[in-house]
Amino acid sequence: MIRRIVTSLQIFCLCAVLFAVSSTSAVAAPPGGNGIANLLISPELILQQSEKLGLTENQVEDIRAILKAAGPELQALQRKTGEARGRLAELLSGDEDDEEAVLKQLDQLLAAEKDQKRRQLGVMIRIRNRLTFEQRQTAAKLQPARGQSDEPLAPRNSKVSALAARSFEEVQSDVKSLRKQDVAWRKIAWKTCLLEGLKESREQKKPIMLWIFIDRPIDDERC
Amino acid sequence: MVFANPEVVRRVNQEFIPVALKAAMVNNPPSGIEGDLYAEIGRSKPAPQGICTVNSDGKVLTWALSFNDDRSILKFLDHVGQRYKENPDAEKPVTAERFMRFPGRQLSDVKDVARRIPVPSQHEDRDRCPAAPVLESGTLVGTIIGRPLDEDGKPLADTVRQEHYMEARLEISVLSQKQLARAVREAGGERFRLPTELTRTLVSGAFLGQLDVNPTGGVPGSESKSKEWDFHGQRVANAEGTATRIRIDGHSSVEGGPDARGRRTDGRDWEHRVTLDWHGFIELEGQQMTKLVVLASGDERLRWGNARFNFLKEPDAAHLMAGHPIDLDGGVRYGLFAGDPRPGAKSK
Repeated sequence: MIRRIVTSLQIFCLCAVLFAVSSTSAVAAPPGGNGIANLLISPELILQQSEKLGLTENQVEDIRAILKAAGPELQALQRKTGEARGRLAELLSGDEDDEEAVLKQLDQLLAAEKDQKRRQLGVMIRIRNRLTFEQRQTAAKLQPARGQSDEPLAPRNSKVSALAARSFEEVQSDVKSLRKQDVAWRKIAWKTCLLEGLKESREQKKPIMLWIFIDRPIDDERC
Repeated sequence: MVFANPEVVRRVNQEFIPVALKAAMVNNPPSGIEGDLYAEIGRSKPAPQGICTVNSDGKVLTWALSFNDDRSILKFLDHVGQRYKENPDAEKPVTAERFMRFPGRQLSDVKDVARRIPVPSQHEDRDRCPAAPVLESGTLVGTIIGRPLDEDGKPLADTVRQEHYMEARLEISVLSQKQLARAVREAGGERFRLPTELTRTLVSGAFLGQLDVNPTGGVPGSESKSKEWDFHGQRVANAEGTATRIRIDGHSSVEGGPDARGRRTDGRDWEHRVTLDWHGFIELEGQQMTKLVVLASGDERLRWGNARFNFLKEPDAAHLMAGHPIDLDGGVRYGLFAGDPRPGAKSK
């Protein structure tokens, strides 16, 4: 149950992103954009701050029940929107765009987004209606302004920033430069097939040196 | 360590046929004639792992689990060469010699049961070599390399010790590839969280030292104390071909140590923490991952010891099974790369 509620909360985080910084916000965001998003109270915040808000046990149970009941449908709607957005991105990735197909897919994306946002907003209103006026006022003060909390996840520090700026070719070059060819265990021509080893042993009249460890110095490398 | 000495390398290549077998195959032989040969080798094994020499009919000549010192390794090669001259095949019974430490600490011999196993010269066409890795068709096979950094942030030059240079096999399962393709499709062009199965594969191979010290656990006698990671991806423009290119980044923090209840710990005493920032690219063709290049940088703390051994006074060759003491604490860098799916990969 906890996992399902967490999933529902994650969907509402996405909901906030949709209202605030969606890539299709130019066509999909409701009038007022971030202003509306700022008026909505995140269910996650309500549950996290239940003590500060002074929620009763009944209120917490009601909110959890609403989230649990809405979870599967919201997940399905989120998936549908994501797939529609993915198909639109694919259509726009070609050398030449098929205008009719792209616009048709945009309609499907907008329809999916509408369904998703409508359902999300409904659930949020139902949760908000479980709060008293004072609790709503307190929650609004606790809620960070949009654009602060929903920024795309930024690299954690300067070291990561430096990494994130590297191109495919640069990363590939960095990775390959780590590999050393001149490694001692690579200088022995280890075989892996016992039958092949015995055949060569007979032909060359040499004993077999068996390396018997968890993994092999070839292919698996680490031992 | 044993096979790092240039003279040992030269002589093994010149005087022996080197074959690497997975210990699991010797300890649990497969069916068939090759399995009989594995079982014959395993019949005299003094331990589940070790160095073993056999003659041309697969009869064990001499086992060695460790050596008195580095010079003893060369003496071992001489000794086995002489034994082979006397016992090149199974014409007469061959007694298996066993050394806990060559030549100083010999264990009881194991007599031959005089069973001669017919050795085919190759596998039948329909037979798969039991030593060949079994991979699901479409598995992406690659490599992970790990290097600790010196004070100037450059990789250490030494490549002999596994805590100084690690190179291992990386396998991205078909399931992981499909999960990633789905996540990419559902995210459209938005940033998304990478599927756990894939991130676990990336993180669980990124550690220095031997397999026993995997900080994500999964090895008998070990225990993961904490495993945290968070990876994201986002589709980016790709100038080449039709592949979908995804830029990935993430952070991981894992910590492991001996099993807290002391199960199968063998007196080992260790701690291992690895904290990394990750960045790289993955390319997909449909649901198939075709390329992966990822770099990870961060810090690693690895300490390994064993109360039963007097590590400081003995050469490494004297305790191959227990390993050598490790005390590593500093910067590290890992590189992961994989190309096209391995041709001829076998279906499970």
